[in-house]
Amino acid sequence: MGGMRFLWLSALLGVCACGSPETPPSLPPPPSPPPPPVSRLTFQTPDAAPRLYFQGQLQGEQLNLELWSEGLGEVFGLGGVVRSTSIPVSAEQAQVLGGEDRALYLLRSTDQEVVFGGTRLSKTEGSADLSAPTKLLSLTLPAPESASGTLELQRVIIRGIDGSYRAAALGTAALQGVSP
Amino acid sequence: MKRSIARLLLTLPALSSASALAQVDIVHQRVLVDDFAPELSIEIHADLERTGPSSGLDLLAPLLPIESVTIDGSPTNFRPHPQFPEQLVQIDWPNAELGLTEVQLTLRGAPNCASATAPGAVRCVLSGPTSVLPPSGVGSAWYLQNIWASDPFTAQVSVRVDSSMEALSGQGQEGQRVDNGDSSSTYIFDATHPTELLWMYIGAGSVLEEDGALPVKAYYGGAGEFPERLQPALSLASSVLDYYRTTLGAPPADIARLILIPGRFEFAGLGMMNNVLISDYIFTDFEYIVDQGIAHEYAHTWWGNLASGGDVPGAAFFGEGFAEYSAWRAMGHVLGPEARVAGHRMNAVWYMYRRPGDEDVAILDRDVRSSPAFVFSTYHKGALALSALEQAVTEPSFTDALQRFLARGPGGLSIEGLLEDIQEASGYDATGDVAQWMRQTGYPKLTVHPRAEGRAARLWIDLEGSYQFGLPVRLRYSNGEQETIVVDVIAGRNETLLPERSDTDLLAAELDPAWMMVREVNAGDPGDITMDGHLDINDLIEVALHSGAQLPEQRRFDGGYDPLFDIDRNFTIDQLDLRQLHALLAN
Repeated sequence: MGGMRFLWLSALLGVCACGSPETPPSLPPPPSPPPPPVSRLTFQTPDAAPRLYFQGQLQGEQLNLELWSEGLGEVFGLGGVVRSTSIPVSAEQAQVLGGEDRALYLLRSTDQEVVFGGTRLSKTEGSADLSAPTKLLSLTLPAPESASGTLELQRVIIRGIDGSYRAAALGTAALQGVSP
Repeated sequence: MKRSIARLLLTLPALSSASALAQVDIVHQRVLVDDFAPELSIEIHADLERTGPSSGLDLLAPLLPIESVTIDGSPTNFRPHPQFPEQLVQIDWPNAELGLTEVQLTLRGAPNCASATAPGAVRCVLSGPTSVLPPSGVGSAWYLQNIWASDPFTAQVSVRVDSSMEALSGQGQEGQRVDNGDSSSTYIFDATHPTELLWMYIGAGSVLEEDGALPVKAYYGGAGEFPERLQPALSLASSVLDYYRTTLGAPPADIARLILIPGRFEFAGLGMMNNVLISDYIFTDFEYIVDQGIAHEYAHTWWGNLASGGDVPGAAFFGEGFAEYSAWRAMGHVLGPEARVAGHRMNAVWYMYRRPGDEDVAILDRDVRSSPAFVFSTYHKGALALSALEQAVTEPSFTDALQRFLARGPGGLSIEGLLEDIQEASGYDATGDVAQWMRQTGYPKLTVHPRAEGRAARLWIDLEGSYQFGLPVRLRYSNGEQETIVVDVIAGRNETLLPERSDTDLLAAELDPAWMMVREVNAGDPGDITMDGHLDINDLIEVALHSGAQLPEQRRFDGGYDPLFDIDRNFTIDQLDLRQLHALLAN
């Protein structure tokens, strides 16, 4: 971004060097702000719950994404893997199953994947109601200038207090970084 | 019964100098109990088939003092056994022709109901509003029973009582009641199915009745109201009996009875042909035993009564092991599969980790009864040896085999017969299964090393011990689906590639999830409890779900314990295990 502004100012100075100092040329209209470098951020979100899906937006020079759940019902433990292609990703976990007195969380990140999850400490702690939309993870990705990539969920684990395994529809996020 | 030659008297080496060898077969007995007269009396008329020369009979010490003994109408002498005066009575048996002989004993006087084995407990109840006579035992014999050999007989039990009371006995059918015209009634019960187990109850009548597929009546003679737990127990009994009828065959009668015995009865429970005697304190002090105890005892109608082990190695297994197996199978049917899993796990864990001094004995060992591990092996491992056979041949085929096996009747059960019946029912030769589960001690240990491959995993399973079997493996997928496959394993290292699905991820491979056999499963890769090649939250969830489980201190208590989830191997699954695994997985 800084580089582009330098080129634009250089052109303007060049015009000034050739013109009369008494009658400065009229300035051109100020340029509109440069377009954000991530030109496309798209989500595929399942229509129906139970579901896990991404939401996100650009803030400053980084992309903040969130992983949300909806309609999971009573949950004893859940987790999975967020796999990123091309774009390094890091994460913070929301303590959706309760504080550390009631639940234990696992969060392990490499550039390309985030292994996350939480579980109630024991059956005596009961389960947590994740029926309403609930933020599971906050993900941070550097805004790419020209990179493209996707985020998808793998190995999603949703378990009830009876040990049952449950299915959920899974969303994805796609990023397309385009230089203007 | 004439089917077999049995010895009422057997000369153990210790007895050989004192007793002549008598060979007899108890054919039929008529037992008359008079509880109406001022003094309790019992008359025993026994028809014996004399099959060898003898000079005496040794009998269990009776419940009441012996007043007289006659053999074929002639009085004969009797005395305490010279070597075992507290346990046995010696009766002179003058030389006579081989063949049918009638022995008549009259017992009269004050009963001795004190338990010979459990201090403070009673072996019978003959005071107060309720009277109970369980099967004969040392010091409490009230009919003849072969001491050393399986010897079923037919019988008739008559009980004279005050007309305000009700008497029960027999094999399920209602008894015939005769009004004696002197404010007493005599109840007459026939035991037409050969048996060694007679019993008698006198009380005020039933207090509850469950009108299920097979009605069950409850009798309670204790102080105060009957236990709250009685009604659900009756309901379970009815359902379990109906399942037994479906899978094992018709019961001896279309009604069953559950009789609660007041006081500290020596037995927790006894099952005899649709009738279960159970101590009332079980309902309050040992509630966790109630359902399983009732299911086990009613299973004895088939295993131990309608059919039983003969004079074969491990004969008790054909009663106790089969009753325990049938009980948990029925509980799973009535209460849901998890009930059966819990019962299997309870049995496996008790056998594997609670044997005294790590003593062990094979189920079919000829000397199994004298081993400190007898109960552990016969009841607990025995039940799972049978579920392992069920696993090998499938449930329907095993049910077919069991029905054939039961047809062998009292004294007719043997392991050779079981092998034949399994072969006929399924075409499967279970010789190897019997050898590994019943003829040797110990249990298999499985250590699993998984590696993720694609969306599934490859397993290397190390099997310690001389075993070979089909190991059920339940695969759990991310889309909530599951499937169970069977992996053939032999001693040593086994490699298997689990099936991969294109549309979902494998989250767990659960080895023998229903505990169909006595076995220990260990995670070869520390932390990968779910055997999917991934260290993830699912491993932690499994430990958290099992948190609070521990190796039980009490027999028949399901502590939920599974060593797979006991990370620090201290026989308790708790937050320390969870934190230790978390530290391992977080790095």
